[in-house]
Amino acid sequence: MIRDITFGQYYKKDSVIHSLDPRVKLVATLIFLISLFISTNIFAYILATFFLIISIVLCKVPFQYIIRGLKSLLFLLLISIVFNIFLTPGEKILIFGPLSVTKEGLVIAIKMAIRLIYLVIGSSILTLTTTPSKLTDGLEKGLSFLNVFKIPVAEIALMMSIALRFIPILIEEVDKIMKAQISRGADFDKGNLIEKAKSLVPLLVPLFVSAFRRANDLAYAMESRCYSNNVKRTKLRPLTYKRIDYITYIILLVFIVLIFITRYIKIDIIAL
Amino acid sequence: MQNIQIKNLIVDFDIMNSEGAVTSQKRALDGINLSINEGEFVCILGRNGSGKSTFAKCLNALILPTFGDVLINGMNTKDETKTIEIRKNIGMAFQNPDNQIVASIVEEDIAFGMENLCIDSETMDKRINESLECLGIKDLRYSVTSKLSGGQKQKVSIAGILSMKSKILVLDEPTSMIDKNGRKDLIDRVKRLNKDEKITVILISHYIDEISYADRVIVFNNGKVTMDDTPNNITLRGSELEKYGIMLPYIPKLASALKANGINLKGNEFNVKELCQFLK
Repeated sequence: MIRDITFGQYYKKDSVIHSLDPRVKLVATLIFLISLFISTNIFAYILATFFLIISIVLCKVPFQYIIRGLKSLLFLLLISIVFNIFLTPGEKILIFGPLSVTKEGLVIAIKMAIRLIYLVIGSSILTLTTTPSKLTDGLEKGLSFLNVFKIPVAEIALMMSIALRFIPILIEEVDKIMKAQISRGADFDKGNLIEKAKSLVPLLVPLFVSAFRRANDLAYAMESRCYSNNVKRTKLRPLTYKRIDYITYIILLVFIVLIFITRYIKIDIIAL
Repeated sequence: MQNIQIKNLIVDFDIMNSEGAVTSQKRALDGINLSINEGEFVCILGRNGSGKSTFAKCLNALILPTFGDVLINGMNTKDETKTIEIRKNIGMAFQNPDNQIVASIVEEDIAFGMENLCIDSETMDKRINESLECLGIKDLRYSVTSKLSGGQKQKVSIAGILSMKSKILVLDEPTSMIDKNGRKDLIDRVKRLNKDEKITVILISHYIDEISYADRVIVFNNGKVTMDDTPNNITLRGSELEKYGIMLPYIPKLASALKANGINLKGNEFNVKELCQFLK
């Protein structure tokens, strides 16, 4: 049961988005998220929608995969919509007993819903088209300027990739320990929330012990393969920008400039 | 030329109580004197806690001697400026393959050691192919490491060492988590590397049948070298081996008993086929 959990949702496909440098994709996602939160009117939202549709088409990942991430967001979405609709003061358009729907509340609720949905879809495209190792490579290279401030970016990136590598192993370990405890009469499903949490203690202690043992072994294995921190390392697949990456940067620059321009467009329809 | 020279090696470990205070010391290795020549295939046997793994870690400068010296191609492991060079010369594969694989993809894991040595990507690419081919796992290059079998994982970790062009291979119980067929395949490959590439192999094992691959067998007991002989002679000293907690498999045991009863065996009858051939 526990083995069915999947981490990282890379979807293998031969597309332009897949072939982009991970740094470009990280910057693109960041710019898209910023654009969502600085959008003030409908033109900005149309532009963001246009940007998103083009990305979805270009990445060639089936649409149902992209919107899968929205399921977990549903509850948050519902809370944000309900609270914004009913609790924002302003011009009342509908009244249900003590509660009333205001025009301003409705506008904010729609705005928040669009932002949240676009945010999830945008970041899903990043993780669906980039392998976890490429993502950490991108972060490592993209944030290498932080080395000036003595932040060990390469070490942090390596830690991230090792953590990703050990997730399936630790899941397997949890599965094994759970089965061992169940075979000795443990019941992880019985009781209320506190009892359930308590029943996890005999699961977590051996898991931590084993994780520390594994970490010790891994440290030995890494050292024996000449690993040493603060030492320059080369890369099997060094990240290099291609023509398409530069073109994408230009498109992103145009996009964010357009978003800024829309802030100065005065519109009377709905002041989003 | 001598690859490895061990001079009066002593390693002590601190025993700590639950508060972290040192209460006593345990001697893990007690006055080891050895030399291992280039191209030798040495099998190290011993019961749990006999000091085999500590010895292996001393070779790779992962544990430094309390007293004595470990010289790898003339370089002392105590000399910190030589640590990387020593580790480049002497590659090590550990017992649990899951705990030594760093990356999620096979080729990335093999490249890890080379990346640490600042080798350029073109050379890395070439060496990855060579080492995978050497171990017969070329088709696994782009596989996800967590989805491999125990034997395949162990081959990937050995490929990582080979790609660093290490001339000495230390295998610390590499077959303990692999089934019988996988075990044979792995050791066969290692033997081929030893023969063809002249790589010195130090195999630490629990399985006495693996000594048939070796040129020399060393038995550890309580941190000391208690036997150091050829595999043929070792099998003929069955009762001595049992004293050190190592049980001979049935055929060598039978051969040893026949020899003790006056039947003049050659001493290399490790399996049914060889024994039958002699008895005919």
